[in-house]
Amino acid sequence: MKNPILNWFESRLHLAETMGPSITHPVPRSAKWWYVFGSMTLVLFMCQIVTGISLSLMYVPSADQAFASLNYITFQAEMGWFLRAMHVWGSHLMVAFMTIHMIQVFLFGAFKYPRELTWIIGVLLFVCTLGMAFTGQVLRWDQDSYWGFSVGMSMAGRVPWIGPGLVHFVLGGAIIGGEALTRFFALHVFVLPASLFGLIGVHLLLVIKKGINEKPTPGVLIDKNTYEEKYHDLVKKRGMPFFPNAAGRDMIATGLTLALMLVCAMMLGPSGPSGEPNPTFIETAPRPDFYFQSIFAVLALLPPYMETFLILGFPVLAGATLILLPFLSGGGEKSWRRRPISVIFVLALMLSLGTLTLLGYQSPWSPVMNAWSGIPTPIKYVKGRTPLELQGAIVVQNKQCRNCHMLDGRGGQRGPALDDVASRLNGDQLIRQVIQGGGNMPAYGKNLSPEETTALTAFLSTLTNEWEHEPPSGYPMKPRPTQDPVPPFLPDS
Amino acid sequence: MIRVALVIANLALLAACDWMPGKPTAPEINRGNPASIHGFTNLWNVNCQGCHGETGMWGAARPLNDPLYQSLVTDEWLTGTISNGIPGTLMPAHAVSMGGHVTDEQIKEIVEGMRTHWTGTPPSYAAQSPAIINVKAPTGNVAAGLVTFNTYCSPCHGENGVGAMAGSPVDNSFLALASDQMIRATIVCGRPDVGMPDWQGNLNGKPVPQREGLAPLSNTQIEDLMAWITSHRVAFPGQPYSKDGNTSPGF
Repeated sequence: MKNPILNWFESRLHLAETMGPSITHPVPRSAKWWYVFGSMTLVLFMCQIVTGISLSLMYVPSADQAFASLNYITFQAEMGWFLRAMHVWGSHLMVAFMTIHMIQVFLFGAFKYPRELTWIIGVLLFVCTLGMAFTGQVLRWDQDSYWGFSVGMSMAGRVPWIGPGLVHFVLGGAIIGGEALTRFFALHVFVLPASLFGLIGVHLLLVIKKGINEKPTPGVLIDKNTYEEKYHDLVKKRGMPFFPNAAGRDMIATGLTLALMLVCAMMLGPSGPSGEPNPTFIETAPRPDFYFQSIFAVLALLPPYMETFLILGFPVLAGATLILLPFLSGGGEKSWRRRPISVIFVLALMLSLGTLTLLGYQSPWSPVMNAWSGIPTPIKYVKGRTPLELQGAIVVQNKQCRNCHMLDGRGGQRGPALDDVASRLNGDQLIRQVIQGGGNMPAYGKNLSPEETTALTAFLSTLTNEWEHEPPSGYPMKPRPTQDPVPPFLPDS
Repeated sequence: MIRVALVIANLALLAACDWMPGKPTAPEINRGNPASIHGFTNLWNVNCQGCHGETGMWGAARPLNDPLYQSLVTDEWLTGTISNGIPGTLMPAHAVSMGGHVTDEQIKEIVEGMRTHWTGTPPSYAAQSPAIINVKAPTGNVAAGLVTFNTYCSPCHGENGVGAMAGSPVDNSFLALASDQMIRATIVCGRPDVGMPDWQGNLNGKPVPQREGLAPLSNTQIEDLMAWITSHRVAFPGQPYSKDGNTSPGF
């Protein structure tokens, strides 16, 4: 080195001497663009650290001030919204790229001998990253966060034997309050980042020591006795130094990643804060961040008899499968071209997660809580109805049937639309369905008086395409003229 | 030189961030907080239009955007009805003190909004109209009420109230869900949206052919009608099957 100052440091730290071989270690020439996702995830993590530290300068981790401090950061602090947007989009992209990285590693057989530990550490990194995402969502301390946290704790409370104690420990008491927030703050800024740092260190060490997986060739099986020797031979004879060759691709990819994060932050902004976390506001519709939307959908859709398995058994089974994967399938074929079951598994997983996430956003199972008072009876269903049928239409609103059932395309989607209910059910069946429930519908027998049931079913019986109000036989009355309304209704100024 | 330009371009881009589409505009502090809603239209849309219609007409329940009706009810009565509901009917209590979630201030806004947003002119005979609020229980003659009904109402509601195009107003389930006040208001003001004329025989200012040649309903006639209609109330309304046989409701 020519620079005397750098020389002075180098003669004491021996950094170039120590790190040099690692930076220039040979990697397979086949390690091309598919191998950049790990670096993309890493650079996002570094970004999260920087933006996270900046946010912690303004965030107040107390139950009564967290929400206010978030509003301060978002709406008053100079560029505070952008800082939050970078942090949240960094988190989203980190989860996304880490998932892609894991899928690439899985399909390229990189989890197999001799990189089992690299994979296992990677799985732990994924769990910690999801932990960061969840705890970060809790720190947002708005309605989405509060209710998401409630759901998470309800699930934890169902763990056999230790569930209630675990929830009490995590919350620091019986309710979600300041103690819970400070615990999650500690997890989010101390425990999990420290774990991530440690695990990333080991992960990178293993990547260097065990080498980057060569692009697998179909038909070439792993021979545990000769693999390492062949690999070293490969990278020695036909490899290239990590820096600058492979590192160049990583730098381009990480640059694009940062640009993507900045563009997302600029164009789409931060997430929330979405409303004061007040449990008395029952008309809010909380929803989790995108990576938990699939879980949100599963919890809403799964039949009751599968709840215990899916809530408690599935995470354990999935975690154990991922950890044990290198031991269950540690040798043999690496190339995805010769592992059709693996490809089908990944495709099925992605399709399932994609479908569930989409359903999570649409959430057709969620009642529209204010439909009963906020969405009027369609005028076409008011026209020509008798006094009793009109009372029945009021029962539909008053008893909140609209919250789950659509009329003319408006209302909840939890139950079937009622527009043609009379073509499916006759009067007796309507009464039975209303009183006894059935399917997903609860029984309303105890919530409706006989006259309300009669009025309701009379109205529902008119909901069919063929409906026409027929006068008693022989009655000479002709239809009376009606007028559509032209009300002097002015918009709110 | 290129590097300097890139740095300047990046700084300019960052400086422009404060005007970017992602910048949140207003805090959502009150999301889901019913007490934070203000303005008549907003309050109406959230709390009232479900039953009373988007425009105050053509809802399943009583049209409130009716100049004659509005001229006959007082602010106090409207406030009390919104606050406490009408016991025994499907009109729920909305005041926070009654278990609802509309504050007193919001109820005041709704009442004032009805008066200022709905500017239709009441008919000239509004001042002579029979009262529809704070009226005692009907004291009229049931037999005379039937005669009046068959004269004035049967063209649409059928002779003796059996039904016809406008349906029966003496169905026991209907009567169990309708208060005397609601029935009286309907007789006096009609339902201009669905086509029922008012006590004068007018629908939206024009006489209806079914009442041609008939004088306006008098107070006595309205009392008699009330007596006859409400005489159909039964102890156990809404029984879908007859006592003597397993007859289907046959809607």
